[in-house]
Amino acid sequence: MEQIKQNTESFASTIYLNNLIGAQVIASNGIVIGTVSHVTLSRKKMQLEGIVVVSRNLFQSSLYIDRTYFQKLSTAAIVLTIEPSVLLKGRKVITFEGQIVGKVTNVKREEQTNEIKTLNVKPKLRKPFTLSPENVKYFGKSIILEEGVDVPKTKVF
Amino acid sequence: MSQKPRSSEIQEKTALANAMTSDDILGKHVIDPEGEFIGIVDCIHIDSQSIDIMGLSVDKGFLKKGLVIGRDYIDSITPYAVFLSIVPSHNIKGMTVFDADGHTVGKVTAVHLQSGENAVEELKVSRGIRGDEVQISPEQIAFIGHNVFLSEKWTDTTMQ
Repeated sequence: MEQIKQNTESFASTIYLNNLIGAQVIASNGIVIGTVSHVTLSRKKMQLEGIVVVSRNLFQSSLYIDRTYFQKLSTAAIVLTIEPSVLLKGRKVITFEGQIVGKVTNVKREEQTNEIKTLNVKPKLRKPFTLSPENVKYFGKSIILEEGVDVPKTKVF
Repeated sequence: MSQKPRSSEIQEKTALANAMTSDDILGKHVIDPEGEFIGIVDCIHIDSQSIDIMGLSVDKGFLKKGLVIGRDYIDSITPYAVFLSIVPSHNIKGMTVFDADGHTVGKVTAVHLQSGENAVEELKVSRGIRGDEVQISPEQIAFIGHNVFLSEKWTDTTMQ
């Protein structure tokens, strides 16, 4: 194939865009989020801008993730630098002492970034409440709260 | 004439009041540092000579193999749960192994630990339809989270 180019990057190190379709998308913690269904390009900058990710989970809507969150790109997978905070929905919330206080029902972000503004938590037999990221000690397979964070008390009646 | 309690008796009573009983531990959730619920405390193992707690048995659920955790891996015991200081390496079984470029290498079928410890000695990885199995050493592993990431690109020559 004849090549007409000015930049010095070798053709062999590039990837065909259509080969990204169907690639797995892996979060920074190793969770496979889904597969690439579409790739978006910037008309002005003429470069890859982001990807649309379709989840295996039928109840999870598609996600658009922009290139600033890409760590690695290959035809097999795109590895992200983040765990998308929207995926915290449904995760258990536990106190510093291990008491289960509820599940995350909604994640409010700073505009459309991955930064968490607040988390809405729905417990059983308690009023729903809101947490800020400062209340959270660790975002893992469960969300562990900092010591001393107040949560609503159990209401039986 | 009533006797004043001796200071050692007061200390003993205070220590007993602050102590935990088996009821405080049995049936509690066991949680790893990632916040994963491993199971519930089934048994407490006590050394018959020193009368020290050696560890806990964890019931991981119906039809799942139990786990024994040594006391050195217990971080804290709270009114609601037992927190571990380690992520049990047995949990790696079933995880997908990705190479440094995100290519799927296979699934972990067996985890070999260094004797008596939580440190991984070797992972056996099944390559699926291809039918073959490869061994991964700890030096090849970059990161273990929800799945395993290798530190290098995987090629067929990597198997040798």
